[in-house]
Amino acid sequence: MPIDGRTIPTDTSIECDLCIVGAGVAGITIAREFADQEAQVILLESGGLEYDEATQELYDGEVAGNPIAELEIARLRYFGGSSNHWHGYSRPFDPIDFEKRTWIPHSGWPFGYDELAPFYGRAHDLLQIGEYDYRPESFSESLSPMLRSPLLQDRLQTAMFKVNPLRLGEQYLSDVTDSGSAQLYLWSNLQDIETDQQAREITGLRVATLAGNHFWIRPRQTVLATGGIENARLLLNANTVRAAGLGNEHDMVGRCFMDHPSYEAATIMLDRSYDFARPGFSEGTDAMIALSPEVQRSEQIANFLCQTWPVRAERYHAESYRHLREIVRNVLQGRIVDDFNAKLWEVVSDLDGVGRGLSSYFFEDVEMLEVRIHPEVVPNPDSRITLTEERDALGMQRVKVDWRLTDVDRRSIRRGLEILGEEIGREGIGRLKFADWVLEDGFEVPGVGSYHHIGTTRMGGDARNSVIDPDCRIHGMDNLYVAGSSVFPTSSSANPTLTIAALALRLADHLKARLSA
Amino acid sequence: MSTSCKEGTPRRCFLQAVVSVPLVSFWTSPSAANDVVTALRGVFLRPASARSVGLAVLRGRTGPSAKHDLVAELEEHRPELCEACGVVSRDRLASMLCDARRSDFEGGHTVIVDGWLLGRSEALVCALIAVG
Repeated sequence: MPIDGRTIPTDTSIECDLCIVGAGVAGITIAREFADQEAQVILLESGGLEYDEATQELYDGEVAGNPIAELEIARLRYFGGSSNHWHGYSRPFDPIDFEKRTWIPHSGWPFGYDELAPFYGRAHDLLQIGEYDYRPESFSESLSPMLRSPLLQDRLQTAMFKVNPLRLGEQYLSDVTDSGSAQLYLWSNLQDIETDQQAREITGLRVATLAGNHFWIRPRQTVLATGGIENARLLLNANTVRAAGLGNEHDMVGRCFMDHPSYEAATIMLDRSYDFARPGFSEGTDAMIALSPEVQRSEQIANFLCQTWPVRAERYHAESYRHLREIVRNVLQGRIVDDFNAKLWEVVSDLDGVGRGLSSYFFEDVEMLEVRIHPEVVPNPDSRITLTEERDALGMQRVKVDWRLTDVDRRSIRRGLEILGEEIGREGIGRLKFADWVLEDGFEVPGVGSYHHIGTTRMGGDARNSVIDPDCRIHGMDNLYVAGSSVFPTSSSANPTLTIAALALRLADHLKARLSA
Repeated sequence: MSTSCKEGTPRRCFLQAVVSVPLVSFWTSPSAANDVVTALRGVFLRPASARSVGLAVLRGRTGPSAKHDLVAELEEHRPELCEACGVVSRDRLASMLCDARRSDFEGGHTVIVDGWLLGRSEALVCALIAVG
């Protein structure tokens, strides 16, 4: 049974082998790995089993720079964390995402894709997303004709996603509560981190509740797993021994904040109405358009990803569009993909009446596509989280998130779209139109980002430009680790959850070995 | 217009060079430019659409936009198109425009017109029809 932290008498001291702070994807993943271990594990969760407004308000803070979602909206502060509202998209990072890229300052992980590959496989079981196979040819039946065409066999590639919005809290609550060696504490907020005078070793965690009581946990090892913003906030607030906070000797905590811009960036006008670009039907998968790693290297841009959606042509009945479409259709057309029309009718003829009705949106002819980008953004030390003077109900300083894009980001977005337009034009199937904001100098990407908070306690071998080492341990500290997307040195274009889970499994293996030694 | 010479035929080379000069001038002369425009306009089933796109191209141009300037620019970029005007059939010229379009996008020879990414050849052709 979970323990309600609000019922623990003030100044109670509780010992354990491992305390995991935060019961989101990373925290639940690590806790589950200790189910068959002798180690005594505490999983500390700020909220309860369901949404609570007073607890959620602890997330409030300021935002600045490139538009981003309000902090108390983007995250959920109860058991399961932000997996309680994620869309379930999973994809591993590409090997190039781990490499040191000379055109991207601060790029490079301390290990490559091969180190993480086995953990990606295990994470598939955790997230219940089937086999670890992202080859487009394994999903060809569910891909749209456009994604199977020569359009995406050279500079552009198909990027597959597994889709399962698994609510880890609902799915794995019993795994945690019924396990003999993990104890779940609810309504329990990490308020401060006590260390020795050299700030090398954690001696205690002060845990406070909104009911007013507080108690202590004395763990041998601690993992902060509270998310990309909160991990940095907790370290910055732990400033009793070190004024700049823990792990912050080189002023790196909170820096290199990244999110994924996600917004309509272009439209594609098809030279005729046809089914070429209809979305593919598939359960549990989705597909987007990416740039090949060769193009990223030759163009010296970041990893680029976009998704296309059919839109109603009546939205685009501007005169200029009609004239351009006329000349493209009548004169300057390229290869015609009539073979896909035949395949379409094979599918439609198998549908029953209900299916035909539901599918009319997907099978009617498509004239225009919206292009929504989801690119990698590069690490920028000036994009950062800092503490404000305002304090929450627990007396902890709130944060300000100032998200700054770089010229590499802007050039990558514009060039990625340009290459998409070049390929569309080369194949003769239409033309691309940039959204107005893409053509502005120094643009900021509209929208609210993707709720992917990345990079604020970045991993690296050099303490001067990172916060944690390759084992996810805070540089210079003996028993404090960090889990979650805050540890990513780079953001990739892929959604972070699968990589969060993979890194958490890797950290769990490390901790099991350390605690049993 | 290109010429080629074999060794031992310097007189023939000289004659070819002499003949080629007025031909080069012919391509940029007003009447030649009109011939190019006429041939290109004939490729389009709806020239009004090409003209509309061409006006947008001209609005965004910073270089000279007189007819002979545009023809000279097209001749420099796609000499085969200008050479073919008035010589090949309409269908053949349309096919050559397709090839030029493909080559432009493959080589990154593009322009942005009212936000649209167009090939340089098609933009020039539409601009020519607009001024024609």
